[in-house]
Order: sequence, then C-alpha cells, then structure tokens
Amino acid sequence: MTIKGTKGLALLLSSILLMTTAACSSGGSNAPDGAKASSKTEGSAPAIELRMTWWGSQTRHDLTTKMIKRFEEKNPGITIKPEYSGWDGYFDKLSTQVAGSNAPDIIQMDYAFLSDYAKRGTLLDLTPYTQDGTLRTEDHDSSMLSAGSIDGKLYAVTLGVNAPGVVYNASVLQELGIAEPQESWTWKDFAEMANAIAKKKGDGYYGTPDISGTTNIFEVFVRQNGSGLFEGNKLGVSREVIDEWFNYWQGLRDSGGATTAEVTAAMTNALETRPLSVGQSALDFAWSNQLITYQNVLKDQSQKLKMQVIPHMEGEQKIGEYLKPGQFISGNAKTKYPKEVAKLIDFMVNDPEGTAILGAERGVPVNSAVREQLKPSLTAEEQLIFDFIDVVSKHSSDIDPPYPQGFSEIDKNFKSASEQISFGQAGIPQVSEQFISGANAILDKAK
Amino acid sequence: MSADLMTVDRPAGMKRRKTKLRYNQNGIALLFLSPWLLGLVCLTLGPMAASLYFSFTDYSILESSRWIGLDNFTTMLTADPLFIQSLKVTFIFVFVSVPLKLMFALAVALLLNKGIRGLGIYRTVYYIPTLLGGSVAIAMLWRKMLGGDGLLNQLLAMVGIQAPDWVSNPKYSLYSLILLSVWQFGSSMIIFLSGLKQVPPEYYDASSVDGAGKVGQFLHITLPVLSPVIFFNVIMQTITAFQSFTQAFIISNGSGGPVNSTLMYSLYLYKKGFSFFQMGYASAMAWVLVLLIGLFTLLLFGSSKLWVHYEDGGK
Repeated sequence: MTIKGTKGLALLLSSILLMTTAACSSGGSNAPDGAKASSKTEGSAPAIELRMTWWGSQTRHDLTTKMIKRFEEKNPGITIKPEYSGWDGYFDKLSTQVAGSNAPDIIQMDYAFLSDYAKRGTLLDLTPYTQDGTLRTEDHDSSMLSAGSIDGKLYAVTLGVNAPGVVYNASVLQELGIAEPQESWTWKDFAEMANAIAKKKGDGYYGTPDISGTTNIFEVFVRQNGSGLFEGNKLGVSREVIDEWFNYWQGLRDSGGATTAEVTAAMTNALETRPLSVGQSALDFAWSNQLITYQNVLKDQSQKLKMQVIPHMEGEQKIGEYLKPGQFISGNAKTKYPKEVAKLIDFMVNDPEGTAILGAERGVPVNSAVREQLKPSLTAEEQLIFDFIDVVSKHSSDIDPPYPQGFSEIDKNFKSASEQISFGQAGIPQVSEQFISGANAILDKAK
Repeated sequence: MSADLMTVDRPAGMKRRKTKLRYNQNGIALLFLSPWLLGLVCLTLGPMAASLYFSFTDYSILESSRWIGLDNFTTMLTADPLFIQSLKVTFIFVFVSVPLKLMFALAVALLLNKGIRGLGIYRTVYYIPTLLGGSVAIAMLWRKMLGGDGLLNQLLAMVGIQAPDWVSNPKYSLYSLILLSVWQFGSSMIIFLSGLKQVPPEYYDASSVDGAGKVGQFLHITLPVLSPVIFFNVIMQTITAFQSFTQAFIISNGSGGPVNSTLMYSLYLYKKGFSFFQMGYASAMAWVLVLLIGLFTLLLFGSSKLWVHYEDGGK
C-alpha cells in the first residue's frame, strides 16, 4: 500500500472513530430539562408517552391495564406503555435499566429496595407535587407516608397495606374435621395442624410447603424473639434463634407435615405453582393481598380460602405481625414529565374510578376515604383481607427499618442454607454458623 | 485486488490516478464496513474496555464506581466460597459434557456415514436439537419432563421404579443439564460427518487387503485422519460450555439451586452483577473467565502436536 493510501486510511478510520464516539455517548446531553418540558406542554394536549413497570400475577396485570385505559380516556394526550412481569427477575431488570438511564417513568417499588434506589438518587422526589395538589395525600395514613419518605422527601406512595399471614383452605379443613385456626394460635398448633392434614390426606399431600428458606417469614419469627433480622448494618438475629427455626422445620419435614426437600426445591414464587394452588397442601404463608390471586388460581374453585395471622410463639417477646406498605409506586428521577407521573399516581391511589378498578389486589388502600368508598362493593376475598388487616392493625408491632444494602445476597444465602439442611448436606449448627459469618461479611462490604 | 494486477509501466499521470483510485477503493470499502466497525467499537470493544476498568472498582450500577485495585480478585480467591463452588460446577459441566457430546456426535456421524437412504432427513432431524436446545422454551420443557412427576418419572413408574426429581435434587440436577447439553450434539455431528467424507476410501481398501478389522481401521485410519476435525470440535465446544448460562438459569429458576448445585460460572456472574449490585465484582469475574478460557484453549493447542495429524504434515 502506498503512503498516501495509508494516510487516507488513517484519516478515514479516525473519522469513523470520532463518529462512533459521538454515537456511543448519546446520553444526557440531548435530554430536555424535565420541568421545562412539562410546563411547556400543559394545555396544548401533545402526545406524551409514559412507561410504567410493575411485577405481579395475571390478576394484577389485567386490573392495572384496565386502570391505565381509564386514565388514558380521562387524560387525552397521555399514553401509558405498560411493562409488566413476575417478581422473579423484576429487580434484576430494573437495576440494569436504571444503569442504562433507560428506566420506565413510573416504577412499582418494594419496601426492601426503596432505600437502595432512593438514596442513590434514582427516584423522583414527589414532595413538590403533593404541595401543588397534583398528588393529594391528606387522607393517607401518616405511617404509610413516612414509610415512603426518606430524609423528609416523599419518594414512594403506598398502593396497599399488607400484612404477612397464613392462607388456609377452609374447605379442606372442614372436610377433614379440623378446626380452623384462631388468632391466638401458636407454632405448635401450626405444626399439629400441618401434620394432621398430611396424615389424613395421605401420600403426596402436605400440610404446608417448607418455607424455612423464606426470609420474610423467618423475620416474623425473629421479631417474636425480640430482635430484628438486622440491627443497623449487622445481622440482628442470634445463632440460637436460627437453629431453633431450622430445627422446627426439620421436625415438620420428618413428620411429613411439610413438603420434602425435592418438592420444595421445585417450587417458585409464582403463586400459580404453589402447592396450595395446585391442591397439594392446605396451608401456605403469604401477604394478605395475595389471597385474591390464590383464590383465583386455586385448582378446585369450589373451595374457599381464608387467612389467619402468623402463629405466635409461646412466651413471645413481642407480636411478630406488622403492617407493611405492600407495594409502592414511584417516579423515575429522570422522567421528562414528572407532573404527569404524579397525576397517574394520584389516579391510582385517590381517584374514585382508578381505585375502584384496582380494588384491594395490591393490599388495603392507603386512602381512608377510598376505603370507605370501597366497603359496600367489596368481593368476598377483599372483605376477608379488610378484616384481616383490621385484626393485625390492632395486634401488631411496628415494621422494622428497610433492609440494609446487601440484603438480596443474604436472602439467597438463607434459601441455600435451608436447602443444605433439608437435603442433608450439612448439620444445622454448621449451616447456621456459615450463614451468620457469610451475612456479616456481605454487610461489612456493602456499607 | 484489481489495482495490484495493473501493469507497472505507466506514465506518471496514470500512476497518480491509480493511487487515487486505490485510495477511493479503500475509502469505499471502509464506508461499507462502517456499520460493522461501529458495532464492533460501540457494542464490543467499548463495553469490554469499560468492564476491564470496572473490574478494578467497586461499582453498584446505581452509584458511580470507586477504584479498589485488586480487591475484587483477592476476594474471589480467598473469601468467596460460592465463587469456588461455581468454578467446580462449571468444570464438572465442561469436562463431562464436552467429551460425552463429542463421542455421541461421532457415533451418530459414523452411523449416518454408512450410506443409508434419506441421509438428508436424518441429518436434519439430528440437527434440530442444536437449533432449539439453547432456547428458553426447550429448557422449560426439559424441566417439566425431568421434574418430580414429569414424563420420564411417569414412564419409570410404569415399570415400578420410584425415581427422584431429576432437576430439583442436588445430586442429579447438574447431570440433567449435562444431558440437555449432550442432546444438542447436532452441529458437531455435521462437522464430523463432512470430515468422514474426506477420508480417502483407498486407505480402507488397502488396509482390508492387509487384513485389518473394523476396529483397527477406526483406530488407525478414521481417528487419525479425523483428528483435525476432532480438534476443532473440542475447542469450539469447550469454549461454549464454559459460557453456558441459559439452561441453568431457566431450570433452576435463576437461582443456581438447589443448594447451588447448578450455579454455573456465568449464572453466578449474572447474579453478582444484576441481582446483588456488584457489577465491579462481576466484571472481574468476566475477565477471569476470559483468562480461563484462553488458558484451556492454549493447553489444547499445545497438546494438539501430540494427537492431531494433518495429512499435509500441518503445512
């Protein structure tokens, strides 16, 4: 190749490189200033498209898309593009989208992740819109407002109030001649009931799924013992409590009351696949709002599901039950249309039509006026949920602070720990020991 | 290129035109290449450079990164039992599935090479798993089939065997994945088949005259002549196996479970980066994987002198 040719090539290559760097770095600079864009567009009804994401079951997808349709009819010019999925993988995807500055405008949030996202500046501060009346919060429970606030700024609005509990198949209990659980029941009662169900129903039917690897329910047990799962940036639970918990479930597996290791490992978080739904168990642990979906996906539709509080511990330090902001709805800090985002959130939690469509599927509405308005038209399951939340709000203790960073990894390790025990790969003391040192190492690093 | 074929004896003016022409040709070529170049720089080289940088940082995706030097690499080797577990799982997967898959592919290729009728159909049928096997749908089907009351166990129950849940029992779960991988033997088989067609028939004729049996012919003619093809297949399959992700992700529901028995290296890397907000650590893991694959490829190339025979002496 001649010198001239090489020069030309170099020139061309460098210009291509320049082009590519320009093409690669297309973030930020051309994004219009959010506030300006939205104030300019007011009144003239331009086409605004907002993306909204949430996790949930098919029931929720149907209700939410219906709500969106109604919102679009009432607000011409705004279209909402839904992006929904199940719980598994939802936050994997969201973190990737946030990193790529490509997250949806409206984001369903969970209590466990709220501080992670808010403290890293990814969520929209909704305070200005509560002040200008776009998002009305006067009738919201103050505890739920403070649960969605960090450092005095409102980042998340509660869509529904939930509490953990035990869902039970009342029809099966009746068929077997077993009395329904009472609010005062204990872990011992729970085990006896699970064993009785398994024994009477016979092979392939269990009292309860083995949920010894589910951190949420373990947390209630820890609270009954008087400590929190976490104390600041350290694990709050003691070695003895972990051992006791795993021993309890080991006993239930041995007696046949809880699912075997293999059956448990094949279970997922999708409610459609739980043993209770497919007719392999009469009990399961769940959030109160999930009763609706459970009833919808129950294999034998003639059967009726009911709900009771998480069993108590004999001589417990405090009541483990707590009210939780079931799901939050948040805005993306980088949205171009923050006012419209606030408008949609308002429609979901305050508007008579919006809230009527959504009902109590995400939990008992946070707005007291809406609760009153919904009461006459509640379905049987919604009525059960309302009553359950009533019971819990009388007998519960405050929710613990949001989980520290690193929780998702600890959560996974807890599940592995439970599997290690149920498959007999290691003894309980050894597994607990490993879990504690592993969790503290993760928390140390995440600080 | 046609410009090079032009004769040298030209007047000076002509010469200049020629270089100009060549310059233009290069320019045009690059212009047409630019979509690919753009992709290479933006989608491959850029992210690779970024991940190399991130591998030396603490990067949570949501916050900006912080330089921590070699910390990620030392943690990996000294304080992360799951990293060691994921290596163990991946090594078992690679060293069991690759030889099995290649033996299976070669056996089927030998059968198909017997000159049976409808070869095209068989070839297509055996190739289909390779096309579909990497997909999510097939992995889900596989999970159903090998599950506790899946098709396989129902069949076994008919003959009175009470079988375990092949995918949710940590003793068998990894071997279910290996089976799924072996089942996708199609592409290696096609390559073997074309390799077998290259073996000169005279070799077999000559050896039968000398009284060699079928086994002897296979060992002393087929395998040596086929060795370059085997070599190629081993390298390609090893590299793919090290990166295997989809099946483990789907079959274990994204957890690498039960008890981390299917925690493939790539799956753990993904969990670290996207579920646990440790993208710096995940980037470091990615580079360790690159080095590992490089090392094994080098070892294979090194060993090739001992067992790969080229008919032209490797020239």
